[in-house]
Amino acid sequence: MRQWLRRLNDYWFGYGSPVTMGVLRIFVGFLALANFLMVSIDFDAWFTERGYVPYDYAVRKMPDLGGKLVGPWSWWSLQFDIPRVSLVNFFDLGTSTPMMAFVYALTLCAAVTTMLGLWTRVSTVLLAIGTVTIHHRNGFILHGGDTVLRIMVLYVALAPSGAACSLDRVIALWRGKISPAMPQVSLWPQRLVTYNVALVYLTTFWHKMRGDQWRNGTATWYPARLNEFDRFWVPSFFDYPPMVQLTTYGTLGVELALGTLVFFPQFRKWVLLAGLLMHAYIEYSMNIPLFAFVICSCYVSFFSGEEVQDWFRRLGIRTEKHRVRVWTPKGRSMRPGPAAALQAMDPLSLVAYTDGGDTAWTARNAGDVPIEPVKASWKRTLAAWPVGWIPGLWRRILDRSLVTSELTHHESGPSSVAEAVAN
Amino acid sequence: MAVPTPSTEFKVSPGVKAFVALHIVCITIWALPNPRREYMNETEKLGLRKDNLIQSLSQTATEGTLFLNWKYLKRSPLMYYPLSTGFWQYWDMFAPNPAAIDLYLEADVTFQDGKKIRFHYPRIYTMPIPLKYVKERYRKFYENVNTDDQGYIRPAVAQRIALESFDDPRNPPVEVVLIRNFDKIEGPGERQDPTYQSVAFFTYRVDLAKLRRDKGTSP
Repeated sequence: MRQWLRRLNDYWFGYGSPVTMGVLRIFVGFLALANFLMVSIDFDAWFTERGYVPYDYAVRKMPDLGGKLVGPWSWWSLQFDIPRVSLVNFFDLGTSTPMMAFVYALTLCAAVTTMLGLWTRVSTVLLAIGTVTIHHRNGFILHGGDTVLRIMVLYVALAPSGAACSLDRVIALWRGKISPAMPQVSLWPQRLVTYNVALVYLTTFWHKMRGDQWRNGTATWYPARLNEFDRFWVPSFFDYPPMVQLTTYGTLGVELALGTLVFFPQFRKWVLLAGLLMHAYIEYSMNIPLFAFVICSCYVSFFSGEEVQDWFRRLGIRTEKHRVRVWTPKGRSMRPGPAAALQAMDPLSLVAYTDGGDTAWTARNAGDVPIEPVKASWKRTLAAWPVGWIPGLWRRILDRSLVTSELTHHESGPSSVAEAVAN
Repeated sequence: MAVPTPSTEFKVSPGVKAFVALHIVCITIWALPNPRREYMNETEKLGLRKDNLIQSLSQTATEGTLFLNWKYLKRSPLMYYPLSTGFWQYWDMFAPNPAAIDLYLEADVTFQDGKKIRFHYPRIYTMPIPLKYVKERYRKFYENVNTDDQGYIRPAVAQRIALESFDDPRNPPVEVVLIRNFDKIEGPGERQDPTYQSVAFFTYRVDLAKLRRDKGTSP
């Protein structure tokens, strides 16, 4: 029993790599941005007093949290309202279109900076407050994907999600303020994500088992016929009774496995693969925007940061024909900080920077053929993609990473990036 | 690949552990299904039946658990935690049975001069695929408007439809009738009637002052 408790404690409260939460933060930021951009097209209809849901009706859907409870708890009465993680009760936000538009725009900006991992703590907290505020302002239009997104945004805000895969880390490395070694963080926020994802599947399985159409194997027949959910063409054999039974019982089986077996390492990969296939089919055949993307993004939480890093390493090995060597201009070396930052931006390890002997930057590909160094560098540096295409920017970044060799040798001594980072 | 064991070199404070435990309890309570309506209304009692002991035992165990959760925990002060933080969640997609009625909304709008038009609320089925993705919230919204327990929103829906139909300041809409179009999906092997039925389910006298205010026109 004691040993079991210790293992449970180690699982929930152990320390490990922050890479998983960093990757989840990128997914969540991107999907929040896409989601809010899509909804913003109908901002006037959904979030204003002249829209479909004036604020009084929104409050009726999500009443203030206070007063008397019902049932056996009717003796309990709060004399004040418990505030929500929402701004809707402040600054006349519920009824003021300019204020709501401001919060909406701020939430969009926070989604961008969350995705990039810039000012991560502030960005993720702002995104969480903005998301809850928007959902609180109009709860009539929320579907399952919105709920998953809101919950994940909150977990990302709770976690040290800027500790990896973030601009914050790259900037800190560049300035030499942190060590290139990946920090160890408490894993409980990541464990909460995995628990919550399993809870989603387990409770939906429970709900479904109480419906006769799921038990008799006909459930998937009905939504496939709802014109309002219609998306892409589906082959007619999906209408045959054995196929309907297969998809119905298959859905139940996969959902049960995603709530239980997924925690056993020997089943995990196969269960998650089945989940991906199930959601891919739903995404293809039914119009439920972003739901599949949001929930499948959360699957990364079932893997440790070390495993995620290892995927990238193995992917880098598989794509080694794209590797390049980049030489710095003669007499100039990379400073240790920028070298570590550039290495952190290149999880596939496709670019190797070395001190060169030419007057300018040079590069050679895996076949030892000379190529254009700046383009070769940013195109293979995964984290450079959002900015590398901006004319002149990546060259400027590379140039600013340099210092005259004598100074580098005098300061720290390394002659290559690997040495610099190792030091 | 073996799953790496987390390091326990560092310690997490008892306060954080207590928070995590509370969080797990609260979200689990909140996400569990509600008991069947007949048990919630207490029109039917749980208990063992001699004629069908195994089924009634299973039913009493599962529904009893859900009933106790709903009555004593879900409506306890613990509910403040998910509701205030944003962690509220309920996972009843396509459950307990998937929706089996195709629905869309239209409205008859009557203007001051007696003219009538048919207003077509955005219908996802008729949209091109990229637009379906962006406009899906209209379907979800109408799904909620259609239920009786959220029917209180219907005046606001009708008022918005009046606003969207208001083009001539001298001839405002004065009445909106919401029309439910529906088609029941028949089970496998049964003949499907493709014809939608229509029912007027809500009539609304337009608030002209609000209409003009929202449109930005003077009377």
